[in-house]
Amino acid sequence: MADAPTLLLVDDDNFVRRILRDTLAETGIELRLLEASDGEEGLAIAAREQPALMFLDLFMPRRSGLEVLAAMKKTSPGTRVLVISSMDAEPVVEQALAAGAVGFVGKPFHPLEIASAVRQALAQ
Amino acid sequence: MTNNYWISDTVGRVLGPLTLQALRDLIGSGRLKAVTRASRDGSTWIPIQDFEEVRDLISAAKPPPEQQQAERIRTQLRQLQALKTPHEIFGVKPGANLDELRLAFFKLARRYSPEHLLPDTGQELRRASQEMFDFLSQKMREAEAARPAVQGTPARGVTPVPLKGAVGNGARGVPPGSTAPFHPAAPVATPVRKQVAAPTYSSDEFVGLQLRTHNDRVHADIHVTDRNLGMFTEHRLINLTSGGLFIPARRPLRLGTKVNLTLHFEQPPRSIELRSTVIWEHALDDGKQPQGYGLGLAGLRQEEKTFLQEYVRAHLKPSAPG
Repeated sequence: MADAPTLLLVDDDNFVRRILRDTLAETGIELRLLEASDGEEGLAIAAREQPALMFLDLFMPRRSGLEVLAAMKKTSPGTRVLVISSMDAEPVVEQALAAGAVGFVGKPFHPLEIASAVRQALAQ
Repeated sequence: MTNNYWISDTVGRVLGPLTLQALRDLIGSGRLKAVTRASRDGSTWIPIQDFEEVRDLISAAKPPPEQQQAERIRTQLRQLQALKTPHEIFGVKPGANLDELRLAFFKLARRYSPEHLLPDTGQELRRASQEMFDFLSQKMREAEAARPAVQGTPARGVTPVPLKGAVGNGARGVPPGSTAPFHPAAPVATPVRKQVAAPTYSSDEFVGLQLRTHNDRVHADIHVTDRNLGMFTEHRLINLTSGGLFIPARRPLRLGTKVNLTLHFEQPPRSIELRSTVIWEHALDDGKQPQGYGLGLAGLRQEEKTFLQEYVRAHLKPSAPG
């Protein structure tokens, strides 16, 4: 487990984080999980821990996911960010991808989507 | 296009910077119902309706005046009155069976049901809705009386929708010729099913759905929050009043899928376990219907229904997207 990649979950909804934790546990992918409940906290943890992967909500207190994405380019350029949000209008998805996200999963998500996205993101 | 719009909701969540196109798309798609304010710099906030750039969309989201709605209903009523058969009126194929007719009736009639009008609905709109509802009820009663009512197998696994006064074996509960209207929102027991699912609709923001399968059944855990309460109220067919809830999804579960559903509440803390069936699915992104699926709740006890109704009433504010 010491070599397991770190995944940071950034979502203000505790229940969503729990669902993601459970979903990831079921995938069997070995990961070290960290969590943050708003954009500001997520950015701070990402800067400190330099996770391999981040799940990022867009609509959050203190700092939005799009702002986090922009800041991550400087503070954690090696972290691959997968956006998970219900704000999945086409221009928003395009903006998130243009801002550096490696993928976008709409809410509600299916566990298979998450498993597939993690595998793809870690394989990149 | 510059990214220079931020939005925020009543619980302090922010989204931005957004392009104007992204902002307009989000408003137009109904995802921002809970958003109350917007900003051009992320720090100075004003009511979102004060932004000239999106005012047209916000105004368009408002329903037309009641007088206009009433006139529209009467125009539709005249058009329906000109049709000859219940199949034409309810828009089903000529060979459709009674269950299909009932389902079509349910979908069409419930929007006019007096039970679904807001308490402050004006007299004119209330009267027009009642006229339409009475007409549709009468036509459904005539169809019930004219056809031997056999609890057939509905198309594509749709759970039959029981209608008060129109369930089970024929027009049981409403005598032939009665002028009493049907009450589609108040399903009653049938000899074969105690509580049957009814069609149900959607929320602008839905979070916290976990689906898993076990023993060939799908299980779903839904954490009910103020932000996703719209799943009980927003869909015009699939909602709590009709005995269901709507889950937005780009790849909906198939019609007829059985789902063991657990609803989790925090204030007050409680979990309710229910059997449910997918009674509505819409996978097309055609702008006509929200993409997703509706779960009809079965075996909902009166006490649980009352709890749900009170919970929704107590917590329902402008629902918040996430």
